[in-house]
Amino acid sequence: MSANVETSKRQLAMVMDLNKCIGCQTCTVACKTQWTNRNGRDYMYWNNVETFPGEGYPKQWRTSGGGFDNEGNLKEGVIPEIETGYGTPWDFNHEDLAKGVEFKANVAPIWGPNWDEDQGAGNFPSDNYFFYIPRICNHCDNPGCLAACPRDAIFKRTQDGVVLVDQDRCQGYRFCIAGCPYKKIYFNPKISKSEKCIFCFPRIEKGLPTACAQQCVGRIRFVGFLDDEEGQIYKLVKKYKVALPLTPEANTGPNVYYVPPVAGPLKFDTNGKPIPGSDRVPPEQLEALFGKEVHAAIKTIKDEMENRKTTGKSELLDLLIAYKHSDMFRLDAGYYSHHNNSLKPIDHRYDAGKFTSFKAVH
Amino acid sequence: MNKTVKLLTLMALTGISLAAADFITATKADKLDASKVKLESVTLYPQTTIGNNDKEATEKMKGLKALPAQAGAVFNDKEVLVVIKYKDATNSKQSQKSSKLFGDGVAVQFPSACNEADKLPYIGMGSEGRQVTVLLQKNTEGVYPVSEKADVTTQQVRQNLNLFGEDLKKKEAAQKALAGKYAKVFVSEGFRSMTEAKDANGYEMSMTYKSGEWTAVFKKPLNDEYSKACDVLPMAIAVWDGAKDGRNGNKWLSGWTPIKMKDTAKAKADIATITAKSKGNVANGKKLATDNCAACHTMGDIKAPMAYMAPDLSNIGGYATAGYLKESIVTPSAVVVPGYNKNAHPSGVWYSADDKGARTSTMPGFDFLKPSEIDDLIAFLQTLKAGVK
Repeated sequence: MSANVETSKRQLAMVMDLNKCIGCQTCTVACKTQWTNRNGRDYMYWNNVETFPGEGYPKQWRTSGGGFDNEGNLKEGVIPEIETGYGTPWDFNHEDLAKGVEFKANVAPIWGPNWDEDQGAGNFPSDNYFFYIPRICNHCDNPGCLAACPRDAIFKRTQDGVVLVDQDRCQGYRFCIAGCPYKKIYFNPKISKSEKCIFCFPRIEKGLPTACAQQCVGRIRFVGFLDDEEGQIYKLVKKYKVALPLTPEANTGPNVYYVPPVAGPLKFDTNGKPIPGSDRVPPEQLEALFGKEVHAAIKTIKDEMENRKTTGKSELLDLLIAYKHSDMFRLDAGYYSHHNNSLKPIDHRYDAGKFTSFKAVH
Repeated sequence: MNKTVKLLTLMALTGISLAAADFITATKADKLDASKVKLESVTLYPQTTIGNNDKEATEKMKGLKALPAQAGAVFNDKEVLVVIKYKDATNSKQSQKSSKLFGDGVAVQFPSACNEADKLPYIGMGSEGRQVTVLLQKNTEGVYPVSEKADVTTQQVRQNLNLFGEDLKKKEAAQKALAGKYAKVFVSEGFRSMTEAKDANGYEMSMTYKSGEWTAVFKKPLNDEYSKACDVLPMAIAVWDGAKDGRNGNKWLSGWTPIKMKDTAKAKADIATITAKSKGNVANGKKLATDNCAACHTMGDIKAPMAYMAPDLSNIGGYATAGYLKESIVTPSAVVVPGYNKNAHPSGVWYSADDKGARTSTMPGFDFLKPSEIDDLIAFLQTLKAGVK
């Protein structure tokens, strides 16, 4: 993407096969219990699973701006509000139930992360449809959040391309939220700083996959380095080109890739008979999500399914079936222990004590 | 007496002054009492040098007028206390339940060194080699530390605490007690480099809202490793309006305002240097600006053809000293503003940096202009500022 971002030596990436996502939200819970169960983070879902078509999480993120125009200029964006955009988390009055009071929530929510779950579009049973899109931070090549930050508080690790917020430098200006076209960076109103998906880097550094991927019951998530030619990520993204970034027109170069939904049931005619060759999910909607390449990707998968039927063999389908869960993660745990890849805090200025032991020039 | 004279007499009697003061005279007192500080008028101008990507905030800032404020200072041998007052129709508070509410805020900045009045740090939070100390406070519902002793468990949400009844109440009270006010000291050499000075001692801040007016008080050591007071202590003031999504660059800013600490010839000379007004020809300056500067800089009604190319100078007369303007025209690389995040607008890069990080401005030096032309240009630039609301 932009040549102005310091290029990472390697890039961690994730592939999610949407054909296998059942919307169980186990990834959401895994992430929440691991990372966002702290004060001020309670409204955040660093990992969420939204229903498409739908408003998304936060509400209408696809039309909330951010990302770059074709000249590389950061586009304006808006900051969603917790109550109306993300949904205020609520709690129940369990403690008081013994006193005989009514069981109730402490807030009356007007929106939430799964408010329109499973609603989809179309008419049942003739042409209704929906599918799930699990979303985490895309750890972009040219992150909109990073470009928007007036304090250089957001950085992309050179070792693996993970995008993080330096909590020491962040002053809670929230331009990053406007700048992210995926609205995957959040404001913690209690600490007055921005926070986001950290790609479970403390786990990754020990060779473990992200919590969302590890817990995924549908085995939809692959985790690995994009340049690992033996890895599934490379094969799905670069070799077969069946895994595509979400809304690539935002020009941030996302590093989470999706295998688009391919084989759904056919539409029914007025007599309830399947219409041969029909698509329940309108192809133009898939194109809006994954770009023009989506048609070639779907064709490749369909061709390979046919190939598998006739020859019994298909490397691509073997990869997508993912016989062994552990095979879906190639993390090279030793990578981080090499001296050259050791991780240092990014704020060298503060780190070096230049300002804390600062002596004014007089 | 005609009406104008009557009005002026009335204003003189009641101590109201229309024009902003050139300098603030600090009074010396053993006890620093904020309520007894003599206040002078200071005008703050909308920061329009650089824009941002928050659509709603940009809308709210459009057409912003200058903000009249009052400032005063008192000092003793150890400390200096500054009072800032300004009117604000709304008492905006940053909420613990909102992702898009912003609090009102006030900051003052001081140069780390004050011995060269003609080479003060860049008004936008300093510049390389000319650091500033910034005292910033914001109106919030309370801000928690990122973690208490690096132990996030103290901040877990109640459902995860595995506590009930009295124990839960106790824990929640303990959590609540962790929240403090937002009042921080920073050091900075250009606005993207601002870094919290966590070891700054002896700094105190408060801001109170009463009858539609904010009163902000800042107390700092007279001399410490972050800044020193000379005969004149230059100060700049910034004000953020939470109702206008104010934070970072979305603010009003004063120019360097000298605080006279000692009545000396040096103080007088420094004040004259800091507050100097060019006696050049404004009309000729405007012509020169249109011919030489408008290809990159927007200057009020003179619009640059491309956005992001260079700092917008529409309010430069409100906050730049004549010395800074001259230096920037003749040797632009002397002070290089970091500008936009380099990833935000790669086609309009304001400077290049060598391996060692030394910056060279994209702007060429206009040292070929005659001294009188430079004076004219400065005279015009000093007229560029929003009117007072």
